[in-house]
Amino acid sequence: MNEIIQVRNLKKHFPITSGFFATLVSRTPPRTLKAIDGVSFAIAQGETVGLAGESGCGKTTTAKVMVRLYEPSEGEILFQGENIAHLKGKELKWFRRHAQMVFQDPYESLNPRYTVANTVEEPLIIHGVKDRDERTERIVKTLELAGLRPAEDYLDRYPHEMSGGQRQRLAIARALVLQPRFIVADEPVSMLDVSIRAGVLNLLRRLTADMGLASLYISHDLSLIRYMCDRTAIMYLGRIVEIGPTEKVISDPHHPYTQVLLAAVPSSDPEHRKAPLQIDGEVPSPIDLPAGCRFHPRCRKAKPICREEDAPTVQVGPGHFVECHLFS
Amino acid sequence: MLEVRNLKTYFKTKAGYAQAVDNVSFTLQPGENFGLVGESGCGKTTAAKSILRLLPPNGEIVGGQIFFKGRDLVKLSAEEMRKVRWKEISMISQSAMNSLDPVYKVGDQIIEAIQAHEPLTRADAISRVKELFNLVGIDPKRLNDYPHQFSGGMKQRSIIAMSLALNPGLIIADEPTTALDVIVQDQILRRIKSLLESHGASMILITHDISVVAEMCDRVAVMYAGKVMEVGGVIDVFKRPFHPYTLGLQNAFPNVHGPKQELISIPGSPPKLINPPTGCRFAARCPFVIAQCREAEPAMATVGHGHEAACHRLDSIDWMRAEATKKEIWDRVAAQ
Amino acid sequence: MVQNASDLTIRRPLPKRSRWKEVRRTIESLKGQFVVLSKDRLGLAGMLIMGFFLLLAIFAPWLAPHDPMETLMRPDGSMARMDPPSLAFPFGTDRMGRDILSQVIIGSRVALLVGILSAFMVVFIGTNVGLIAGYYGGKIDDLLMRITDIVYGVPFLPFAVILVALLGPGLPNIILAIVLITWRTTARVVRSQVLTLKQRAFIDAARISGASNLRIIYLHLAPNVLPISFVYAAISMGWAILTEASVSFLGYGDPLLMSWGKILFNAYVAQAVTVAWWWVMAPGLAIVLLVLSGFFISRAYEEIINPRLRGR
Repeated sequence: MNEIIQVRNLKKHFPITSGFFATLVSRTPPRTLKAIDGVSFAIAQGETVGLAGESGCGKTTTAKVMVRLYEPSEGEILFQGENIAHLKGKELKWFRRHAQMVFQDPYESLNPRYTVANTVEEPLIIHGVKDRDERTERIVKTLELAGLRPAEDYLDRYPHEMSGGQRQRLAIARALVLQPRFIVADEPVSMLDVSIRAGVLNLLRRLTADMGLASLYISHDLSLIRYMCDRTAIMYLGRIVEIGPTEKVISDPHHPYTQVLLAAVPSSDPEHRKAPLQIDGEVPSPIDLPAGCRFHPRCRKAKPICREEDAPTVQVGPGHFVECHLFS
Repeated sequence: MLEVRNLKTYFKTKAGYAQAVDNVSFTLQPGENFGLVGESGCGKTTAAKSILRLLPPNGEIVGGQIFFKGRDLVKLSAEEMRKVRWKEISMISQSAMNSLDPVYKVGDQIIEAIQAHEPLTRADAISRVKELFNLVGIDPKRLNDYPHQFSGGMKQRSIIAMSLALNPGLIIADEPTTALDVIVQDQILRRIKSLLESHGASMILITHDISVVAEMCDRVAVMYAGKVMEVGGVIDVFKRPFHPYTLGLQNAFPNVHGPKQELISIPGSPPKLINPPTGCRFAARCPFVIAQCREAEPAMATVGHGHEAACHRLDSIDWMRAEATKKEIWDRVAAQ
Repeated sequence: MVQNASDLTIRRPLPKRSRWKEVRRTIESLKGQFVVLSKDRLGLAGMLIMGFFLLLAIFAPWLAPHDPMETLMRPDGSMARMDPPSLAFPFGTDRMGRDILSQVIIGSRVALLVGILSAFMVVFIGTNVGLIAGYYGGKIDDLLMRITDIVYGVPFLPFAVILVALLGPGLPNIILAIVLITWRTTARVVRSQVLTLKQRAFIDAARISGASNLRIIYLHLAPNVLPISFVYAAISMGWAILTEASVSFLGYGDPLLMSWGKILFNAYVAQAVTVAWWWVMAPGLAIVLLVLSGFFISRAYEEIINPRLRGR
């Protein structure tokens, strides 16, 4: 398999520090927020994998751990076969050349005092491209690749002088200027106008294919996931509950949560009437996780075993896996 | 119940007047849910705020009428308008759940809003709030909680409760679920719909998401650059659209169910509203533009029962509908 | 086939990116700030007053009509002692027959020197402490903030007086005393600003690009924090001038230099405060004007930080 990046049993736990009084007075043991609790999947060259789920499910944390903004608490991150989970210093910097990220808010992810040229140039300077002309050439090429043409018009602009779509293209150019192998897009279009989204999404798709990138696409919007991703993983409370080829996950969802998620997406067909959702209650806090299968308190199909034991991972089709007692 | 006629709301800026809402008209029947759909900056929020006369200091209604239950809201005094707000027309705005004051209990905030408009004793107000919480599905005991103890969905539901507190006949909801996850969004939208039915209230729903409109509304107006491009029943407008912009919008929404389609964006960006171009405002981005489009603004023409669109090329609509699904014609617009 | 960005050939010449453009852009933005400042009436007043004193200080020896230490005579030959303001001596004379106007003019040099030097050093130290404490957090933050807390506990004027008494009265020691205490406010404010900025996505983006901590602190955080530092620079300048005047007034000023505080000290020592109002008013007025101008400028500078405050 042409796998560029793979995570195995990835975990990220955040300790919750209570206030001084609380630790004096209460006897409860220290609590942890298990943002990710055992996530495993891989992305091949030229492939886009989607991480879908509601807020708090851990998809953004997974992305940040994979680009090493955070260090994982447990588990491995294999980049081209090498475990980069705990790299530091120069080696971490080497990894950074190859792993980049595009953020949700195009304005926030840009330094407001940097011009377009400064923003795209910085990664080149950091990674030792010393010749100024070579840098200029690469900046121009990358800006045009991202659709900012002619590049000369944009070089001296500041983020506040550009539209949302242009800013996001700038962020993409910055991410690609070092020709990485792995790229993460965290809700890259959710803050853009609807009529602009398609352009940015099509750009990402084309670049992933042309440059042979391994792409991780994060969204809570399943319709965008369907458009962008070859394979999709549905996350709930820090674990992947279903993963498989996107079309299969969408047309033949196995996990009860996936089914509810799909049923909840509003349809643009006004004659389509949605049935009430088969789900109870709200997402529990990731600090106090339910015992057994995390989804059981809200699941309409829960069986007694779901309350006691963690759900096993079962294969239900080629490349299609579910974490659920219903299929074992 | 509500008739907006030729509404013009302009914003005064240093560079001139921004024609945010320019000659917008639509009607709302009692019990009907009406959607206002369009990109950011198209004027939909401004139109809504004009109805409630909640414009910022540099905004002004410079023309038109807003008839609500027979009265022209534009002509009311500030005091009379204050009586209309909340009691007869209330609003749920997008960031409303963030506008809950974090240092006061949620229940107290709703009680305060009620008592500001109606002479209820505190005890009566409290029981009203408990009723409302039951309606929206929040445990009445939680009215003593603070906003940070509520989830996003619960906060939005308490805002909905607040908007229903005085039994208004019309609720204006501005992107009420945009910030929420899809399952919570479904729950909230369902709840809003059933509450509207049980209270006999109407709603104007403002959003950029056509699927939400398709699900919730009976009629819809598609706005662009301060003007209404197309208006009609939701089924008519979405299944048999007559305006190129509506066609473009539909291309921009990928679907989860049904066959996979290609996402096509509408190149360019909306025109500046300070000195808008002559002719049709969509001309610069329209793949079907002809000379006439840039010279004269198209008038609203009837294209079906209760269905109108403003376009010079309505007679070619079948051809336009077929062409609009092809990416090349939209790409050609970018090259212009 | 995998295509790389380097496969695309550029058919036209590369755009010229001169380094001067960066410099010119900085100048442009400074000019822009200047325009914003001058639109605010108080800001404009502040800048004019400050500018006036700056010119006064630079050209002091040529502008002062007399030597400030020179005893002057009246036309009738007697010593011009304790003369109220007149055409000959617009600010009057002191007990030793010296022209107070000249004293004030020459004294402006000390005031501005102390003010500008202190402001610069306070901002330098305070900003760096705030940046490092805010960015690194943890033990470094704890250490730096505890030091700041200790400094906060030290009473400003008594400390200045004691330090000067110990090290000897001289301008460098006075400036040292001022700087050693006043950096604390800037540090606290900058740190809280950094704590907020740190959360923003562009810092994460810089880290992902491989930026080192130093690069993030000085190239990403610092430029966004400097506007606030400037505000505190202007305020510190006011405090510095006041402190120098107070220290001199208490008698610990540099004996070799004429400063406004010294003039007040002389008046006090001559027990002339209630008798010769002009002796006290002239330097007092100068101090008030210069300190106020600093505050006005800092207040107007907030409009640059928060554009929504403009046009009030």
